[in-house]
Amino acid sequence: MSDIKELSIAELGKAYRDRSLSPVEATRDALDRISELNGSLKAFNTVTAELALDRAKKAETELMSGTDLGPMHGIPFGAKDIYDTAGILTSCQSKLRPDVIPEANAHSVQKLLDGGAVLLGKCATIEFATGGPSDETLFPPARNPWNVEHVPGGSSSGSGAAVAAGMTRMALGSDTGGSIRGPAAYCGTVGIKPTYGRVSRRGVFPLSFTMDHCGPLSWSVEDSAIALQAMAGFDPLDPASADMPLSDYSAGLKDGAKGLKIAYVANWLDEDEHTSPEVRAALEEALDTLRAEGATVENVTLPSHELFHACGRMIILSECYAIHEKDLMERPELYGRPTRERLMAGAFVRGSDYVEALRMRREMTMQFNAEMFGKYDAVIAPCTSLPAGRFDAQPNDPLALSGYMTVPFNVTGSPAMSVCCGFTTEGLPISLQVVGKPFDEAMVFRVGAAYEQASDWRSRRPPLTAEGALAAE
Amino acid sequence: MDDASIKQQYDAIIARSGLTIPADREETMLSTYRNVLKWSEMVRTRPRPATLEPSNAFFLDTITRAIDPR
Repeated sequence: MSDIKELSIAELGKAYRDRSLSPVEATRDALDRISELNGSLKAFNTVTAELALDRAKKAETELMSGTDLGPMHGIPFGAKDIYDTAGILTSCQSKLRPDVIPEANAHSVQKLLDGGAVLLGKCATIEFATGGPSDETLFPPARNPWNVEHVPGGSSSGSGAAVAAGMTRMALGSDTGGSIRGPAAYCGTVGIKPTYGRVSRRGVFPLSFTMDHCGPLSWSVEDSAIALQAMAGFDPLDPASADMPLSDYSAGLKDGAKGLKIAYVANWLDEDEHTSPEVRAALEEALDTLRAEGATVENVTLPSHELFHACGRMIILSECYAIHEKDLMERPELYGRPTRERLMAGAFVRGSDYVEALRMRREMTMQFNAEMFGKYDAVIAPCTSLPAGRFDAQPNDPLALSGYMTVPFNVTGSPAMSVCCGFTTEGLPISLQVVGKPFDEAMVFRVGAAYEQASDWRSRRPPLTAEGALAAE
Repeated sequence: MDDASIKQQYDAIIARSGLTIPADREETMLSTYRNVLKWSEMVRTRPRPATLEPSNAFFLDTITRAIDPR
């Protein structure tokens, strides 16, 4: 048997069913891995080892007796520490919430548990899913498994680090401006932000009501397809939840890219004066790979990234300020500085700015969908213009996004997924985004899988030693 | 708008909001305010007809369905 930590969700499921491996063994292996590495990676805030083993034993008994709850049955996973988990601290990484223990699970967590999945614990986040890494928060910031001197991206930082380090098969993240896709990119994993409304946000601490999306991070495209299948679906108690049919996300994973028409957003890297040449070269090589697989790839020009950014930021700032205003006035000292200052910037946005941004979003979304999906099956864009930065070189600007090119698809609400497309000479991951038309996550998975299978990046793992010390240079 | 006017606006907003900005972070937050002003102009880059609704137009069904879940 291969190393357990490198088995995919599908491989684990097959091993459970042919009885070559049990959910208890896989869960113990994950917990051992967390014990070994969490001291240096800080990917988990809370580890629920006893509960996890209980659930794994239950899954084992069920599977042995012929009760099969589906592909997530017995699969270990982590949840970002803004997802409500019944009876388990849900801190949002914040000193404002050192003892918040929800009574109920977030809708998507409950769906996974109903499917027999095994919760390992709560993954680190950037405080309240906004700002930057800070030592002033309730838990220390997660670190990047490829080099602990570098950030793992945010805000689903622990989720990205945990998946990349093989601590868990899958971890839940949330994405308001890139908080799934950014950590996935910096940690070299897959991360999908599904269509707005596809996964319920109920029970997930809000950052920005109209921009928040929930989704999984995983090592492979197939694992994300399986995980999203289990957590997606209509929830009448989430006002933004969409009552739309779900397709089989795994069905097209082997269909390849032949015959597909793909647009590449060529102007965004050019607009960023800081774009890394290595990122540009990796993207170009990835496009050539897709062409070699039989896809037609054409360059397109979208509205500037800065315009999308302005629109998205005005909305996010307004909405998160409304959520945090009282605490910012009454107990600001409990926030870490990066989060406090980013939230406070919401005070600078006027009511008419917010409404204009919302009107602009409608206009940009309609334009994007009409121009792209009348002609193309999918869109590819850079995920970030830079690789992960160092902890000791974090920007002073509270609104800096560190090269993220992810906000546009929060503005449009499109399904968008990060896929690793290379490494820098320093060994840090580089990623692209695959974007689809609304509710067509299946096409996003198909294109992502086609690229993943045609490239060799999944064979490379972070340089973690057996002792848990990291080979940082 | 000149720097003095921007600073005057910034001071008024901070006073009205009840937020406390430490002295050593004043310059950074003032610079952040300038960024927000820039974005405020950018979201008005072209005229929109009065009938163009915002993207989160009020939709009663999403509220009533929570009262009587399907």
